[in-house]
Amino acid sequence: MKKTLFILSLLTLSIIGNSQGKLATKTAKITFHSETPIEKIEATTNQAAAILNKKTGEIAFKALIKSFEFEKALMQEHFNENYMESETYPKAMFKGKIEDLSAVNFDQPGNYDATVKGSLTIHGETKPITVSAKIKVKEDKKNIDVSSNFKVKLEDYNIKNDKIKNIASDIDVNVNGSLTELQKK
Amino acid sequence: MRKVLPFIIVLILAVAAYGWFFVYNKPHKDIAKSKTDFTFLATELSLKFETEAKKTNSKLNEKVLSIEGTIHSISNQDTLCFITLKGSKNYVISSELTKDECTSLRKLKTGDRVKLKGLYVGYFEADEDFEMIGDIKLKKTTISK
Repeated sequence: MKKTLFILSLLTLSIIGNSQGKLATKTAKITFHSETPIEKIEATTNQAAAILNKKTGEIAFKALIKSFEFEKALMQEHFNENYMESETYPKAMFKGKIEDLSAVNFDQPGNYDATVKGSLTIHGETKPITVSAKIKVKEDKKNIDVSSNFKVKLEDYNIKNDKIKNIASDIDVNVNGSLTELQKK
Repeated sequence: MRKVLPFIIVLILAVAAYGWFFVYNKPHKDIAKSKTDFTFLATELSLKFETEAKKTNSKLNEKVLSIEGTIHSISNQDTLCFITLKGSKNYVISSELTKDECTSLRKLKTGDRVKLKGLYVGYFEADEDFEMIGDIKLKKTTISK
């Protein structure tokens, strides 16, 4: 009986183990900002998905292009139809890894700076990217805030600009997610 | 004629500028007041994605959907509110509600039956990397019942 219980516990632990150390959200916020003398453009989505593996430092974000909201409806139309071609390329994705993982103590609440190296896919183009991120381990250690600010060059992702250059060639991107420990299925 | 021409040019420019101002500042579509394009049960819509996701996605592109289903989870962050409906084995339906609906959301709980009306924005397939099941996404969503 004891042996059966032991095997059962091991099995349970191995199932739980699959998700242990992983945190995720489906409501991360991504904002981008472009400013030129002609026009100021800003858009936000609150429905990006994100996952962080505390053990390996792997981190990923993905967002649907059509979930971005602009102040002006016309800008939103142009963004989807002319620039991002969101019907052909519906998603943007970042996959990377925290480089200096030992500098982040996930068992100690506090704020940590990290460098994340990975690849960013936008408009069907995937490019390597290294970004600085801020990681905040909350008091309960089951919730972690991740934020990052970086620039994206339009030409790297084959996104055409207008002849009058009403969009900045470097777009400011801000990513914010409050990730919660995954409960294993 | 020479005296009239400048006035005509100024008038044309003024009309063009006036027209452009309205195009440039045209308002966003009010989803709550828009005609519903398709009505589904949450389980029925999820099953459509299970069998033919790409085709269903094209059909629903930028359409206003009315979806009735059982609440799987709720997230209320003051002015940012989300509701997820139970779907099928591999899909759920996630909606970002309009700010005004955050108050209505307080009266609801997991397991309640609701009808949502929102704009379809796309879907995520089930993703092992993200440890997430498939997600059918709506925005500007209101609760109809």
